[in-house]
Parts: sequence; structure tokens; C-alpha cells
Amino acid sequence: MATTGRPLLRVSNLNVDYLAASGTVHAVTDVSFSLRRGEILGLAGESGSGKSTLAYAITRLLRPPALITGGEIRYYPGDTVAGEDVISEDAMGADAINRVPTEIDGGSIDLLQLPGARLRKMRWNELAIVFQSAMNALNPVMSIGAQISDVLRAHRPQMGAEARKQRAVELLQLVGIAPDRLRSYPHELSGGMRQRAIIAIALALSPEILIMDEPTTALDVVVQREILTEIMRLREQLNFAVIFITHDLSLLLDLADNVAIMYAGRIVEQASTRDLYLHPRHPYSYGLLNSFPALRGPLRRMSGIPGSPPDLRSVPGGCAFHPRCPFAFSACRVALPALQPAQTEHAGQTVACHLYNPVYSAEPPTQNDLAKKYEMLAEGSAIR
Amino acid sequence: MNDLNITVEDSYAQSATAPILEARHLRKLFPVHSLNPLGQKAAVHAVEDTSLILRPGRATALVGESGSGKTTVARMLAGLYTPTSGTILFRGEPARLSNSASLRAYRRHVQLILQDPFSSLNPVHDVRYHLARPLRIYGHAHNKRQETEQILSLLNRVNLSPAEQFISKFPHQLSGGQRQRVSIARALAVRPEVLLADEPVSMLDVSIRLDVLNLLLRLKDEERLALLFITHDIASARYFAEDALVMYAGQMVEGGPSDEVIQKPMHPYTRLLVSAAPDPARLNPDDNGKAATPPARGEIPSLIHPPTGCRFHPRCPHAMEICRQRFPGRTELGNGRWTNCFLYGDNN
Repeated sequence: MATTGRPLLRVSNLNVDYLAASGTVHAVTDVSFSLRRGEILGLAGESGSGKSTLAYAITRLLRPPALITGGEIRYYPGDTVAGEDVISEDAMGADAINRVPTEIDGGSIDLLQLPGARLRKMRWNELAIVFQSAMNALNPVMSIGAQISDVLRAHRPQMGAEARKQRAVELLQLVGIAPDRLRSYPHELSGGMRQRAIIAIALALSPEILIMDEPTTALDVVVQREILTEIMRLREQLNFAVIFITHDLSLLLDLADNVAIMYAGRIVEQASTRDLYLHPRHPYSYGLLNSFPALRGPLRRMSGIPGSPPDLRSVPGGCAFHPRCPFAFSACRVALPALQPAQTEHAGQTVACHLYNPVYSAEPPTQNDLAKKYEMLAEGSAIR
Repeated sequence: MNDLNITVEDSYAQSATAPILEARHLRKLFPVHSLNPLGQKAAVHAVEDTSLILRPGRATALVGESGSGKTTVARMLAGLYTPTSGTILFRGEPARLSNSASLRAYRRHVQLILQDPFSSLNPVHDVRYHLARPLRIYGHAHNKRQETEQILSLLNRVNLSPAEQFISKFPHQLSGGQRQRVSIARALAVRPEVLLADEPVSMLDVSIRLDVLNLLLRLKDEERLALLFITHDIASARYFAEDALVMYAGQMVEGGPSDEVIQKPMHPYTRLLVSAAPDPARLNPDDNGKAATPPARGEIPSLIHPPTGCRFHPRCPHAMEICRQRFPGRTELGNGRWTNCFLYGDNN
């Protein structure tokens, strides 16, 4: 795809806590990744794995009791975007950005340090988000056209009413809605069309990054496929980067370029989609990947992952996955595994698992080993 | 499918493949109440002319999108809705579902598992209460000791161990998967022969779905239950069920052995459904990039004024004039496969 080596967004060591009365919940712990221009990055994980919190943290939409307790989110404004790119020049010349630009030329912005006014400019211009439920994300008493114009009015004050309408029509056509729907209210549209309308609003200012939080979960498969095809087409056309959040790993394999798997607030494996599909390294990734029955190929008994996701108020010590892991050994209970390349000759696929750490494990497990252990689970009665 | 006329006793005692529950030409309309007393009477045509057969030890998947009427079919089979027309046969005899006594007798054999384990258990009662009720009502336990004994064995059967601990837990102390297991145990407490599972895993976390499916599969094999598995996920239908039926907008469009239906879909709607499903196998190392999928447009139409004839015709790439006029009859394709589509003939 049109991904270049230069990052667009770099998240490093991000921590988000929820300060609850019953104890602090570490929803996102020490998460680092980078997103390149035009890339679709998939974030997969079960409910409670921290994937939505991560999305909200990047957009700075978290409210108390959620608190970003550490880390850095660096945005590298593009110079390729023509004309309307207001924010980046603004930000570069501003003295409010007191941090020195990092190794990349042209400067970068730490989203976490951005003051309110600048953040407001940044949002939607550069960074748009598509929320999970299309039903609730649209204003029920405003027509679709008015909601698109609203975004334009707020961010492009120089635009006239006629130009705004023109742009709204353009956007609806872009996502495959007939322009005569401009005057429709959300309740007059089907679920799929509402989701398209939301994507249209997100694309209104041609953002560089689109964050999609389970955009198709409430939709039927056929409509879901339509939306996904649409996203991929628009990505080709407009070359924005996408962070696509979902619990449905099989969907990501169809869509994403790279995938990060989250478990209990941490990224446990990060790889290109193909690497992950062909050889998932973390036992959790393997289990997750094998939790989806295949549409084709031989039918075989599958096992799933025993147990259930941990309560984030009391995440197990060491590797959070160890109580459910068929491979867990003594070190897993005490030492926290760090993300590291699964194989030295293959640096692109990183995994946080002691099985791949030469200190603990002489020989990393092969795909066959992973398969065998899970098969034994399927046979055994210890499924809970 | 020809052995419908075998006498009840024979079929039940000898032939394991004889149908236990059968629906014939079920139809369900839900009247829509309008405030205008002179207005035209409208109804949601939820299910039209649906027939299906459940056999002991076999699972049948009912696949369809939301609004296709699959839950309505399950609820009619469970006796929760009265069909507008059509008959339900239990062991070859029309099931009487008219009064509460006959309903109770029927539900001794047919039990329903609901989709949402978070709302189908009463939050103020513990697991013991949920499982003791069916045991007492259906006369399987007569005293406290029997009750406890049977509850413990039920909990063990659904892999909730240590059962002694789970017996006194309340729903809020259980995870989604554990709650769904309690729901399954509650259905099993009645000792049914037919289990209707309405999207039993769609509300559960991905990693525990297979566990619950495998539990149902094991129970089906061990206790020779007849299972109706309702799902929108065509891949899990293939994994779980021997037979699959595909519904669209209240009409049955295709059926047969699930593997064949999914590998070689015949009806244009089934083809659309299969092509739209996520399929990681497309990512095989030989072809570079994602496979092109055919453009899929549109959604299930309103069922208050459904399209005439075959309800898929407005979306169907092969629609012909006759598709608008009437619904095609069932075409047998051999090996248990059938479809309702004029592309393959019409037996009307």
C-alpha cells in the first residue's frame, strides 16, 4: 500500500488509569506503537483489554476518572497535504510547543501537551474518530447535511454556506449515499447508511488519521462488508491512516496492514497481518486466531481459550495471561515479559512472551507446539 | 425426509434419525397498531412458510441477518409466540400449545436458551434458585437433598467447577461465559430432548465463545439432544451444525448439509452472505493483497410492506420478472440440498 517509512503518529509508553473507588484500574499500560501514513493498523482484543481507552487517549477524549498517567503521543504533521493544512504550520511556528523536535525533520507535536485551543483545531482536521454506535453518534434532531455543515462551519469559518453544502454533497457521494439524503434525519436512514454518514463527517476535513472504534459491530455481515470495502477504497483514494479497533480478529485480517493484539491493557503481539495469520507467536494470539471457525478448509475440533479475561482491578502478576495460558511456567507468574522480536532474523513481529526469551526458554515454540497444546486442551475435560 | 409417516413409538424407539420436532409452513404476522381506527390494518410479515425438522443428536443451524425472522422461528418453536398459521409437530403429533398445562408438558421436551446471559438471569437470585425452579416444577427433585445433588451434577455437566462454590453465587459474580453456562444448565435441568439456542454466544467474549459452543456440541452428542442453533455467523454454523438453513426477510431460501451450503452456495443471497463473511483464508501466501469481493448493496427491506414474490429480488443480480410475481417453490438439489430460487427450477 501507500505506506512510507515515515511515521505519522508515534505512541510511546502510554499509561491510562481509571481512578475508581474500589481501586485504580490500569486500563492501558505501557503501550507503544507507531502508525505510518496510509497504514491501516488493527487493534484487536476482548472487551476490557483497553483498546477503546487507547483510542480515546489518542484523541484526548478521556474524562475523569480516566487519567493519562504517562507516556507520549507524538504526531508528525505532514507537508504533503496541500492548502488547507492550517494546524501544522500553526503548531510549528508556535512557542507553545516547548519540546524540541525529535529525530524527524519538520517537527512533531506531543498531543498530550497540546493546549485546549490548539487541540480543538487539531481534532477533526488531522485526527477524526468514528464511534462504535452509529445510532448514538448522530444528533437525532439535525439532518445529515446540517451535521456535516456543522463540522465545516466550526473548522473552516471562511467557507460560505453554498460551499459547505457543496462539500457535504461531495462527502455523501464519497461514501456512497445519494445527495438527496442531505435533508434526511438519522432515523430515516438504515444502520449501514448512518455509519456511512458518520464516516462522511469524519472525512469532512480530510484528516490524516481516522480512528475507528468497532465501526461495524452493530451491523450485519453484508453491510459490514460494504463499509469495509468503502474504507479500503477511500484509504486508497485519500491516503489517510486508520486505527481500526475491533474484537473480531478475522475482520482485521481482511482489512489491516498491521495488527496489534491487546490483552489486559498491554500489547502482547504486534506484527504484519500476514505474519500474524501465518504464525501467531503469543499463545493468546494463537488462541484468539483459532477462536474463529474457518469458512473453508477441513473441519476440525477447535478449543478456544480457557478461562475468562481478567478483572482489570486485580490483574494477575507477571504476564497477565498466565492463568489462562497452556504454556505458563514459573517465570510467567513473577516476571513481566517485554515486547521483543519473536525471532532475531524477523524483527517485524514482536511478542511479549517469555517463551521467546532465550533467558527462560531455550527453544521458542513452533506453530505445531502451539497447536498441540491447544488440542490437548480441547480433548481434556479441564475446560472452564 | 420421507419417514414422516412412521408411527410415533417406532420412530422414537428405533430410528435415531427420525424427526423429533418438526415445523410445517409456519407463518407469523405481528399486527402493527396504528392510532387511526379507520387506517388500514398493517402487520409485520416476520416469518413466511417456514418448515424445518430437528432430529436427535443433530444440530441444525438457522442462519440469517438481523430482521430475517430467525428468532421469531425459535420463539414459535418454544411456544412463546403462537404461529399465525402452520403446525408444529412433536414426535409426529401436533403439539398442543393452547393452555398453560399443555405448554408446560411441551416445554418438558423443548427448551430455549436466550441470547443475552446478562438479562436472562434474575439478579436477585443465586444459581441454586435458577436451577432449583425447573427441577421442582418439572418434578425431577422432590426434596432438598435431591435438589442439591442434581444442581451439583448439572453444574459439573456444564463445566462450572467447583460446583459447590458456584451453587451459591449470584449472576453479578459470574462472567458472561459462566452465566451462559448457568442458562444452559437451567435448560438442561428440565431434561429436554430439544434445545433451541438463540445466538447463544454472540454476547460473549471472542475467546470464550468456542468453549460454550463446544459444551453444547458435547451435550448434543452425549445426550442425543436435537439442537437448533440460531446464528448470524455463517462460519460458526459450519463448525457447529450438520445442517444449515438460510433465511432472508422471513423466507427460507436454502438448506442442506451445512458444509455444502457454505462451500457451494446456490441461492444468490447465500452467495452474498458467504462472500461477505470475513475469511482469513483469503490471506494465503500465494495471492498478494486482499481478494476482491463482489459489491454487496442494500439491507433487509421493511417487513411491513415486504417486496412481492421472492423478497430478495430487489437486491438480486439475477432477478427475473417472475421473481417479482411469486415466491419460488422448493427445488430439491439432491443430497438433502434444496433452495427456493427460480434459477434452479420451480416445483410449484
